[in-house]
Amino acid sequence: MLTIVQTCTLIGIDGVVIRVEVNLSNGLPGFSIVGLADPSIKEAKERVRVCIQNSGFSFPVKKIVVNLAPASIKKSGTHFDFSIAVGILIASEQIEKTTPRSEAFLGECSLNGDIRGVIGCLPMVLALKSAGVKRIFLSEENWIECLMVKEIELIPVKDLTDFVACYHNKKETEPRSALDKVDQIHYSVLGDFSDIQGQSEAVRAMQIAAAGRHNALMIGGPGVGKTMIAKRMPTIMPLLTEEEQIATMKIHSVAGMPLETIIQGLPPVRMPHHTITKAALVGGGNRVLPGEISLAHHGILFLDELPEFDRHTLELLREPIEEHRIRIARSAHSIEFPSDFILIAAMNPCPCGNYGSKYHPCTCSRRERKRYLDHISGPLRDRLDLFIEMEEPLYTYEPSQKTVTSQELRASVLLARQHQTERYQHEMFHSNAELAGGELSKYCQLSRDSKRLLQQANRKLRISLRSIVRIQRIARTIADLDQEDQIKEAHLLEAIHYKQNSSRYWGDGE
Amino acid sequence: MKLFIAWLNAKHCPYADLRFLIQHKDILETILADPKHGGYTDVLTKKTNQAIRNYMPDSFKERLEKQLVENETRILLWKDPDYPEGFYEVDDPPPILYLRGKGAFPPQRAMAIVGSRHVTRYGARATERFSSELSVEKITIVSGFAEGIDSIAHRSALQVGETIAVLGGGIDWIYPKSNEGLYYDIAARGTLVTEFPFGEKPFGHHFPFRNRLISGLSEAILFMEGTHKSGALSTIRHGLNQGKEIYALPGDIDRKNSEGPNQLIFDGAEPLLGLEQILAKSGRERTAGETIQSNSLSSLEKLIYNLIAKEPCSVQHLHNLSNQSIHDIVSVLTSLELKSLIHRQGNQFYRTGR
Repeated sequence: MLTIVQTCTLIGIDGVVIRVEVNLSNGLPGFSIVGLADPSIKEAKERVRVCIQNSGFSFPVKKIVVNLAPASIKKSGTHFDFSIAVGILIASEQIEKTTPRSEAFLGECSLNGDIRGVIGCLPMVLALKSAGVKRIFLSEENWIECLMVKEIELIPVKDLTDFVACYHNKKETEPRSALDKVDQIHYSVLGDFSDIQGQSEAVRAMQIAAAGRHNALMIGGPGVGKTMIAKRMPTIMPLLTEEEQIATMKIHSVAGMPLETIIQGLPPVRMPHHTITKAALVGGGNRVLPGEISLAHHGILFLDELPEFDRHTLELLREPIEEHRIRIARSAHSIEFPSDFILIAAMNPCPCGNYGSKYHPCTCSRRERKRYLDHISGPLRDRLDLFIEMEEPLYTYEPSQKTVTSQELRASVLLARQHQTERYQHEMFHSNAELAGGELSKYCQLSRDSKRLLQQANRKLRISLRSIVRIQRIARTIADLDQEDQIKEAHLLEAIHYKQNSSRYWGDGE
Repeated sequence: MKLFIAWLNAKHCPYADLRFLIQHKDILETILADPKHGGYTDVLTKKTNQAIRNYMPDSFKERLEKQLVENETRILLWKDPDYPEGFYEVDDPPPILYLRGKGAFPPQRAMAIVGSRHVTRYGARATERFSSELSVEKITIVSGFAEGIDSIAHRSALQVGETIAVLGGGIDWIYPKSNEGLYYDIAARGTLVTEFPFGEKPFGHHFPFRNRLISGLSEAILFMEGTHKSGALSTIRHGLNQGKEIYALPGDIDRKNSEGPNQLIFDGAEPLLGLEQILAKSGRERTAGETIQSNSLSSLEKLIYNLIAKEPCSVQHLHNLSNQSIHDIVSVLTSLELKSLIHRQGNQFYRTGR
């Protein structure tokens, strides 16, 4: 007897609907799974068998053949277990057949009958929804992450017995009240910008970065608060829109990362260690998984000790920074992951960390410093808009009163973002950081005085023409923060300040 | 002729012989015409005669020319118009000087700041202060490029004005190695000078010897820190012989590093109390700390400028002092920088000396 049930598999971060065909026939008892299944699926045989038996059902003594169609796609993952188990139960007439076309099953079987959560549930639910599936049975563990998806019935099940009860409508499913639990935003866990002593310049620069989605580099000795600042970035950024939230959650779901903060709408912060491999940074691996740059999608990618990263690894960042996506090509197919992040990098001013310090002598030779700085190539530096040199804060008896809270910073960031959204509503892009070429002159119109100012900066402070483009972009964001339509001289002057630090370190006279 | 003198210098011929040859150009020309002739034993030492007989091999000449270019070095001879007046007064004036750097040489006015390699916070702070205050007054700071007081004096001076480092080895020897960054900074905006030929190692005995040049260049010597055995005291001795004004930084009587200066004060040196006192001695008044009233500046620009004129400030420091928003401060700083009123060194903004 043949039964067909539906489930899903992942290619990159997108789901593809899979039909699980289960056939029971007379003959020598056996159980085989076909359809380009990898070892994780082959092992399903044992899990499914024991799971069915331990849930009080009988495992049919027949020849069982399971085909995963389309059979030409390579499949992997443990989420097929549940659908195979259901297929066998229906085929052996232990449960009734309902409307297989509009139902799907996602979950891993455990030996005691439980249905466990699986990796990448959200993108699979989305794919099933667009394929016209109306009801999805999934593990309780995956339920909350998928609640974002509307207009589809999600039925969380605890174990196989529970499932059968739900399947026959013997049990009421809980309403979506679970979502209320996560509605509260817990900014407090992330800290607040008012925790940061001194460093007002860096805090201001971070506000600009958040407002215009600019990439920034903080230069400062050990212990000046670079990491502290980066960790607090989400508290001054706008909450993710529903669309952004789903896009980000899909990636995190596929990578098996916790989703709590994203469900709350907070942008993700990724802080990979500098020993990271290329594949871990941009994505890859045998089963192609998204890398850190994709996990930072719509959020912050914080690279501490930037020059300590492998040079070639860093160079891989160039394309995603421009294109906001990364394409990982394999001989058979290529996979695209979105990666639209704000890059916040940090580094010491020299290998010993004391260069420029008022209190500690730097013991590095000129060559050592140059080598250290040269780890960051010109093209990569070019993609950084804001350079901040941070000073060692001194211990004071009374904490300085001049701190700003994240809330204050966020208020103007939100307004600045709103300005940009309105201004760029007919454009392909939506933030100042993406302004280039024609758009730049269209949206960053300068007065005569301002132009003269830039000319002066070019001559006197040796700021390159290329940097001047960047300065205009930052000035545009600063003007947005000030709620000004016209870029004023003060905005340009401030922008020049943040760009100038780069030429003092690398002296790029390009 | 310069190259030939450099050759004799490289062969360690006595300075007196070299000065004699520079003075008596006719003799030098005869030698150059026929070096093998020899026979100046009556006026020159045996060593010099031998060096003359060997003459200057072409390989040396080539190498020297290359070294001069590579190290951006120029040679100055005794009696040259640019030869510092003060050096005629020192014991055994150097017949040849190797100079590197874009600073003015000889300096219009210069003072030496000397002290030990080991510094206390007190010494470092005072050195920083006097070095930058004197630089604002357009006085070039001369020192010996050693670690400690010397380096601090050079660094602080460079932030505002010029400095001269008198080295104890060849100009191509960066010693101590930790001062490599400082070496190039001085080359860019100050002057490095030495009497020793290329490749000459910075031997210990060179340092007290070159100390006579530090004092020779300066109208006054400021002794900041050092024990009673400090090498910097030899500079003071040279200074006394040359009749220079000596100042010593008073310090705690139980601070080992203040033994030297305190003893000097006891012996009659001027206690170093402040800039006004030094300037009064030389009949001038302080110009630093002057506030600016120009109408071309906005009120905020004036406020920030005047704060920086008082002492070098970082952005954070200005923020704390002025109660202004960080973005206003940052744009005013850039604007003042464009007007060349201030400049930046590391995190600090300095008033540009005019």
